[in-house]
Amino acid sequence: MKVIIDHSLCEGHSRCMDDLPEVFEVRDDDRSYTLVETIPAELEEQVRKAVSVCPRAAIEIID
Amino acid sequence: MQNDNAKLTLENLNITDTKLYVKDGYPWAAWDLLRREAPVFWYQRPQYEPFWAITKHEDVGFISRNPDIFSNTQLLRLADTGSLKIGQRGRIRNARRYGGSPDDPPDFIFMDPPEHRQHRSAVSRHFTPRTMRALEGHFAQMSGDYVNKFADILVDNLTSKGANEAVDVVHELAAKLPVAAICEMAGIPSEDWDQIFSWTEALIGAADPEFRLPGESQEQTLRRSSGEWRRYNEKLVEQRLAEGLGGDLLSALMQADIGGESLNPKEISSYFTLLVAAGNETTRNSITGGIKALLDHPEQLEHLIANPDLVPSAVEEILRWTSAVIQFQRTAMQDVEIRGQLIRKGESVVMWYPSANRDEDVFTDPYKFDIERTPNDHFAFGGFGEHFCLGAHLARWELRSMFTALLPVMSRLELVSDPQYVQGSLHVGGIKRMMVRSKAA
Repeated sequence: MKVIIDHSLCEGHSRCMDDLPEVFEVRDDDRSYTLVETIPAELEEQVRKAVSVCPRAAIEIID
Repeated sequence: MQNDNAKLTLENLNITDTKLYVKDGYPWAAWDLLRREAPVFWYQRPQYEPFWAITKHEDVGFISRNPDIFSNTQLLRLADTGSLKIGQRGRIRNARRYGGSPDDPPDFIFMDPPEHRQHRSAVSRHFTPRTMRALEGHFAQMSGDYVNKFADILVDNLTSKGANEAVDVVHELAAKLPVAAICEMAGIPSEDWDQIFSWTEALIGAADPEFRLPGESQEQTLRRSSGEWRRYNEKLVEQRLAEGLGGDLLSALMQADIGGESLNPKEISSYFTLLVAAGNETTRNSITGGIKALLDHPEQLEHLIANPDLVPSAVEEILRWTSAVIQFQRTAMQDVEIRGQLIRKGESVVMWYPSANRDEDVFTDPYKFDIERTPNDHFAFGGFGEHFCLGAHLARWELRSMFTALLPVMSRLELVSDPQYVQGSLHVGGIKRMMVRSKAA
């Protein structure tokens, strides 16, 4: 699984980083970045959850 | 939920009659019925253009995540045909005054991506969680001051007046911090804050005779107050031009760069109006509604007083419970199915947020007020997506600081009467007055 974050939407709400700091990091520009290229299989379920609670629906699962 | 449920049917339910909102509060039983029996319901009633009533959390989420299918550019807030006509005449007058067309989006909520993102980003940095968190200490201090003043009034009434006169929590407390916070961000001097609040009340509550001058119609009140507000706004712009721009919201709008272009005076004025009005109206109702919720649930209040670290979680539950924004509207740009129901291109959908926030498929025991509810993915700030409330974190920090400051006072408060709702409002569940007093010792 891979995810992309749409930086024209992300405003740094940090729901993703709160739930999964090992995958998402909100930086000083108030944008979230992924810390891993490919989501480890054991975190896929949690990543799906993070995608669904992003207040701007800015995270997309690409494969 | 309610005893008259048996009599309620899809044919006779009414979720648009604002007189019923004033009399009974939100139409919870009707929304319950819709979620249960017709979650995508073609709603036809006199004085309203027909629309699909969307009442399930999942469906509100779907619409909010898909701004390419569901557009904001046509109808944004459900209103009766009379109010829509007043709005249209206002747009025509504005176009005459500033140029442009009456069909131009009145402000950036009326835009779809990509324009919406460009325009929203002119001010979005002022509202990020990080920016708001930096104001935590300042909000705490302001809340403390306002609560102290409010507590003084309560004590004065209890000790000096004998009769223990009731106090209106809306004007004496709930309205204060939201107005102060957004006005500070907007760079509006403190001597004008009371006036800003009056204009907001009139602009949002013009359908309620209480906010009109004697003899005025709804439209006359709107024209007078929007004219006064516009002239004040222009004065602020002139001041910025003469004295230099600052770090405030108005300055941000004045130097916005939208794909190489700046905002025109009509846009600056309407965006500023949106930010200031939205910034003080909804949060005030959440504070008032939150005070009522805690007083109505003394065991929850007691638990919160014993565990003040639960304030952030309690605030989320207050947001879900009160659901200050009632609805927003979208127009389908293509044929689309929701729950197997075909919605045709051009038809309108209305998302009922309080209903989504009582959806039993998402919230266990949704009519239980539970300050420890986890998870609590409510849609009090709208569905997640393109138009999620820009001021969500501003509101959150205001509410957290206000309820933290209020906790020592809450156990002494008692409700004297139920909230009085603003008449004629189908967009924000406005509470214009709620009388409380100090319990006799």
